Amino acid sequence: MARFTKVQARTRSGKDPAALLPATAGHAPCALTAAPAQLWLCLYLPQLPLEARATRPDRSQPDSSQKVPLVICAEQGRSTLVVTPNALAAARGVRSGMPASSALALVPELVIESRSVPLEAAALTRLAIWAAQFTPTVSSSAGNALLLEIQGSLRLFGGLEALQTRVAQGLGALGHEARIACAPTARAALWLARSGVHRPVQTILELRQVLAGVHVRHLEWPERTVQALLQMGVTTVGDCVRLPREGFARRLGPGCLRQLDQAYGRHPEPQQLHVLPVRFAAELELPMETTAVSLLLEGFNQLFHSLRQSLESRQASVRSVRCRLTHPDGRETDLHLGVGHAAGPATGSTTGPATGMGLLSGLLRLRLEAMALPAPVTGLAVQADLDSRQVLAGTDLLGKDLQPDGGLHALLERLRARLGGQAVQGCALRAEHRPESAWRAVSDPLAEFGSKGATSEACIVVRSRPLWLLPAPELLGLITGRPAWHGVLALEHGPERIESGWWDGGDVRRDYYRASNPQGAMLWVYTDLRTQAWYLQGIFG
Amino acid sequence: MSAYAELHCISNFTFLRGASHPAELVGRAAALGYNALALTDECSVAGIVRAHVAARGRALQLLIGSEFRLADGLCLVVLAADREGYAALCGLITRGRRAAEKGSYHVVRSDFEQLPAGCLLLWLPPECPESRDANWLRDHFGGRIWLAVELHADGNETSRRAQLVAFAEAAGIPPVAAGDVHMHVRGRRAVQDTLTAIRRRSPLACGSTGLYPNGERHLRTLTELQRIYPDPLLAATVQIAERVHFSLDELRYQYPRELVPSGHTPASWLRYRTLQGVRERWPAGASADLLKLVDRELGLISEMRYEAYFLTVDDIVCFARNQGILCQGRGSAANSAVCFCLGITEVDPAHMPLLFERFISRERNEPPDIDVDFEHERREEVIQYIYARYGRDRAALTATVITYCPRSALRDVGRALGLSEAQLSRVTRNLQWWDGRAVAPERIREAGFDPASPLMHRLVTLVGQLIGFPRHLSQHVGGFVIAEEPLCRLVPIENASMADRTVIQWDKDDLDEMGLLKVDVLALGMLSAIRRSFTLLREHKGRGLSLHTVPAEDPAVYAMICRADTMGVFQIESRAQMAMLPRLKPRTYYDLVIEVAIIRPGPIQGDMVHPYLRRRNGEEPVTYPSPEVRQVLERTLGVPIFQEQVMQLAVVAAGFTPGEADQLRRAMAAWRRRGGLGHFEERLIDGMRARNYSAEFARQIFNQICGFGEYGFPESHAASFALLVYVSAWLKQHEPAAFTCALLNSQPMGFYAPSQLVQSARRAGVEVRPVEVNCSAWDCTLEARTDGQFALRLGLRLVSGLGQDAGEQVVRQRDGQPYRTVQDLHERAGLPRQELGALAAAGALVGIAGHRHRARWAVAGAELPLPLLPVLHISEGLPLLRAPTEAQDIAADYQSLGLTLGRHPLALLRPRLRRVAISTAMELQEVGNGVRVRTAGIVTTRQRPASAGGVTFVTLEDETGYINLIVWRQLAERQRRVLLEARLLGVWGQLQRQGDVLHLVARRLEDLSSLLGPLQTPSRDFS
Repeated sequence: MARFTKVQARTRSGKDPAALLPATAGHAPCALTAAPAQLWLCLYLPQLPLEARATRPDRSQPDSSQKVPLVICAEQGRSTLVVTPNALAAARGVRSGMPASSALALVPELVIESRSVPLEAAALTRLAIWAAQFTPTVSSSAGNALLLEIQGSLRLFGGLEALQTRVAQGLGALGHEARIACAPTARAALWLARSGVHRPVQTILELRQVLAGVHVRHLEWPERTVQALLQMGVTTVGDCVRLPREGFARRLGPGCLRQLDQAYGRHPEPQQLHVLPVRFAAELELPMETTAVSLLLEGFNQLFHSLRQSLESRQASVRSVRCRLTHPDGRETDLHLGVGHAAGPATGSTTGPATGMGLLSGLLRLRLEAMALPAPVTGLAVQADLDSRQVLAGTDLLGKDLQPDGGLHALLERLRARLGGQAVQGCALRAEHRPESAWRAVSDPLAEFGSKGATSEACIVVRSRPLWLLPAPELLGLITGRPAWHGVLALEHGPERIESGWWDGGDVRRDYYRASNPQGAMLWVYTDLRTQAWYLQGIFG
Repeated sequence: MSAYAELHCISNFTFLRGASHPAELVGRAAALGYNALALTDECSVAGIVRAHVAARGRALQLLIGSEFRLADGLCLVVLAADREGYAALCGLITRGRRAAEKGSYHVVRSDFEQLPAGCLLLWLPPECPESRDANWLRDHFGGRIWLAVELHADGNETSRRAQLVAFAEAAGIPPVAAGDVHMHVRGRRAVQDTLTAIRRRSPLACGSTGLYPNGERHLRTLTELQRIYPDPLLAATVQIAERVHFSLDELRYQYPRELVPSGHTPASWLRYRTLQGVRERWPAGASADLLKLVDRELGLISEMRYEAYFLTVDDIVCFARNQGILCQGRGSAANSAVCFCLGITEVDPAHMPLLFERFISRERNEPPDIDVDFEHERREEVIQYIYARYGRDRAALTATVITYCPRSALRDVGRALGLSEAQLSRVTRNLQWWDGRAVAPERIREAGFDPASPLMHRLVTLVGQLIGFPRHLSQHVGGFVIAEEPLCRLVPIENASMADRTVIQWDKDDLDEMGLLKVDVLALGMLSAIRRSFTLLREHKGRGLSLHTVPAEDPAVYAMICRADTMGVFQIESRAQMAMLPRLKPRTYYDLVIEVAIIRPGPIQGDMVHPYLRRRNGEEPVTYPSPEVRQVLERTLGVPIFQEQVMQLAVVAAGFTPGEADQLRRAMAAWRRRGGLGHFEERLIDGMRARNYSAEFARQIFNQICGFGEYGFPESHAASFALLVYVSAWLKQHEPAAFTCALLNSQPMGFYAPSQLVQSARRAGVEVRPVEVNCSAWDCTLEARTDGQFALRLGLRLVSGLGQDAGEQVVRQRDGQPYRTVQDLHERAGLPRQELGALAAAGALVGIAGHRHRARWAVAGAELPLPLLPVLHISEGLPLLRAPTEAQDIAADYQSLGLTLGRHPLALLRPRLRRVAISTAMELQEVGNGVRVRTAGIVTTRQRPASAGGVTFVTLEDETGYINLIVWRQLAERQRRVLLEARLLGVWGQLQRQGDVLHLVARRLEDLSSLLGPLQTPSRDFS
């Protein structure tokens, strides 16, 4: 995961707090026409919420975002507002900031998706990593935008124009639409990018002229501030800087004044720099080719050991681990091990600090034993992304394990490892009168455990229900008008009438009975009140 | 076959549980051959009158009861066996309801311990009944408590029955069969499930939490019941029913007595009060004719024993008059010499001889009806007076049953079926107020759904069933019931959602059925406006006027009315009325009475307008099919216009008894809601045929009755309204400044927004001055001009975002010393900055701060002195701020005040509109009939009267006047969105000229709102 570190940027500090705004300044912080000490490139990504959506993992169908009008929406207070419309929606008048209901009124067939901030953050992180090829100074702290300090890179990339072209092309290839602006200060670059000024601004003098025309809406100041300015007839940055400095600060807050100073290069603006994620990777050359599981395990255990040390030193944990086996012909076999709860240095500390790794080792053994190796193995490798968020775990003051069901989790992981992830399913109750709908399969039964839907409401089921239900009710034959299943049935208990389920088209009207056949089997049968036909639905154990 | 009485049955008045109307339950129980049916809604008897009406004439005994869930979980049904038992039941419900929030109730065991012998109880036992509870019940209610055995095919019926019977025997509480009925037929199962899902706010598909497993909770056939219950349990039901000797027909109602001083009878006191009034009205002595009339009326009132009713109204009106609250009575008994003398109405009987006889007659045993309108802002004082005078146990407001309409039903059912909020708003957005009481498949299709899909089919079907289901009780606009004995012995009282309000559980139809008298205490904005006009005239011109003393029958006033220059005038300012005025040309007070009554959905749908107009204009001979009919219809030229005339026709032409005619009136009022005029149709037509009226005439009269429906307007109401029409028109004609000022101070009311009212006043030559922090009061005021006329000064009340407290504070602190700066205003008036901002936005600070942008700057910089520190006046340089453009100012005016005194926005757009050949309203006046034109205007009203067959009336406004647009249904369907959403509407249309009346029939609409953009976002300009 990305980590952000606050770094003091090397900008000049503002001088006199009582100084007037730059436009009326008597002295310049640096030569007005000379190349400034810094040059910032801003990549503003207005479509990021839409673009991030394309990477959504649950998307099974091909991306349809270009073919249907679609908007990304977010809850704000009690209303849902449009964040980003796609091109089709925008063409029909949908604008960001409008309520979703109004958008629907314009485009009845509009597809509405909700915004995913984590996806956007992840997309931005990926871009930040990509952008690091142009400069070491990349900041992603200004929502939907990346700031690159490129003064030092100009020569390397053959000048500003060439660099800008490369950046634009690269972004296009990655499927991002960006507005790019360039200015001597980070703040100005951001503002210019938002207001759509493409022409690079390289000198402070030029910057003053260009900034003056930027509309106050593009500064992303709080809506109240923007409204207050507009009500005074102040619409541009140029209008702002004509106002008396103290009066401006008193009315609109020192923050806005500072941002203006930062934009004009009168005040330093530290940027939070982007730091690359930490990944653990280690490999091991085997002394000889082997297919012996015990030898392979021994090797992996060494690697797990150093993983553990790495985790301990960083107070980090892992959620999954990739194990790679290298074969002599260069082929590789990958094994992906999931760890139900993040395995950290302290996981499972009741039985010693190494249990987390012990779990990994155990899982790996199961996998290795279950699979047929395609070829002998010559090398091993382990890779894992470290997650530094999970630090607190282990035991409470009295030494009680803070992670209950550890054993169950381990069992589940073990079963999954042995039988395959899809083969292990849980079963939970549903509050439903129709027996066939009164339960459902769940992928993570433990998550259901103790959650409210499962236990509190579903007690309809309890009375006189067989545990074994047929996949589908079986039509029974009649003998002298009486239902039969391996002999005529004797109805022993009932009827219990169930009439329910009309809302999903599966309405049933049935009278249920407990019945026995001559062999003594206890059966759960019903007669369909519409057709009078008899069915067998379950068998009592 | 054994007999059965269902003792536990809830209707849909147990909101979101019961799935059948009371009448459906009664009808079904009777059809199944039940001996009796108890309607036992949960802590409520709100549906009982409807059941009572449905049970009339059927061989089914209706029992009155209620189901209770006690705070400790115990469940009981209480049945009223006699009058005392009924009173106790009502008292119990009242206590439970008043002890809890609206919509819920709270009862505990001690509430029950006092129940008299006239209350029979059923115990609804839990899964495992406890003998502790049994003992308590037996100890308190021995001999009148039963254990309800309710079996619903859950598979364990046999054992459950045995368990309960054994328990009952052990506990000494006899068992009885009961059904826990929630619906009249099994087919309501889906509705019942849906209601449950709505109640529990959990969609059906998310696990059917709390749903019943089957549809057994309906009225089962006797055969089925016999299969389920042993005979003794069934026999017990009938025995219990036989112990009940109470029907709602026994309720007797008495008017309060305290209004009569000792030594007087109600009759002598009413006579005394009336003669007092005669002396006040005619200080010089009344005519002999009038005294005779008064005498005759008093005789009739005495005969019908209605004195207490008149005295009650008199008392309320007296209170209002003493408080200076203007009021006016209307209704069948109001337009009488007695009411005129008592001051209940100002309609001089000299203007309308004989009205009273028309409204109260010996034969029709119909309760008198007086509605009193009060100034809308002061009605609450009257209501609180009534509560104080009679006590909360004797006076309460009538309930209004709020029922599901298509929109709310769609919303609730949609949620239950699992539609997302987005989908729901998509469907409901598409429903307009005119779409009626059903959901058409087209609406579903328009919303982007396939109406044939199973989900949508379920949705539409269930919505259809749910529409008309009661949803909750709300308070009637002003119907008061006042009684001599505590009301809660007659009907339960519960809390209304408004604080300090209580309502009874019956609505006005129920009261009508039960013969309970009520007084409608209504709010009328025009009365406020008229009273304010009178006050202004007295203060500024020293002229004291009252409703009665406004000069009558002034030709100048009628001339203005005939020109349809009636914006702001009571009642006749609507589009339809304005279109009618030049054709009807009212010249007398009675013309106004007709004008008020004829432009109503009833007469329009009954096709009475055009015959009347033709006859009035002499284009058609006035004929009567018989002398009797002539007597009824002569004053309206042979065309029935008033509700009373229809009833009289039924009597004279179809041979109805007065009592039947009264039933017809009720049926007319309700047939749309409750369906069917049923046997009246046959009765009417056969009756008229038998009296030698033509089949054509008979059919026509019947159609007119149907058209009247619930919209028929009584002459008695029209007579009172017409007076207010005349008075307001007189004020508009002669005192436009005062009248507009009063109208603005009484907003919101009427058809038009302040913008239109101010424009109308300026056209009439009134000078209107802007809102100014150093000149305006909270209300709009009159300012003397040097020429002796008065100018209208807009008040701070028009400033949006400025609270009344703040506004009055500004005026109070000004106190002769004008504010000098915004800082000064801030310090002295102590306004929060937000409200200062509202003043700046309104342009009210121009005098002290300069243009709006400067005012904003000054407001943003204003600071309150800190306590203990001297005020530090920071001197600042003048900021470099651009002055707003004219367009910006106009936009800001609209945004803050809703009107501008500057140019009309369209005047600024005109050059652009000219380029595309868009004509002005004034230019249209010059265009001939049938010519095609293109025009545009700001939409000021959209109207789609139910009676107009889907036609939408739109009023457009430009800088030269108004354009009356007619949009036929087809075009409205095709361009629905433009019609609904455009603020600036462009139209291609064809001009239609009928005399002086000009309409534009739209052929194509165009949304030009984007041209107005800055009117809402004041940051950009027009251009």
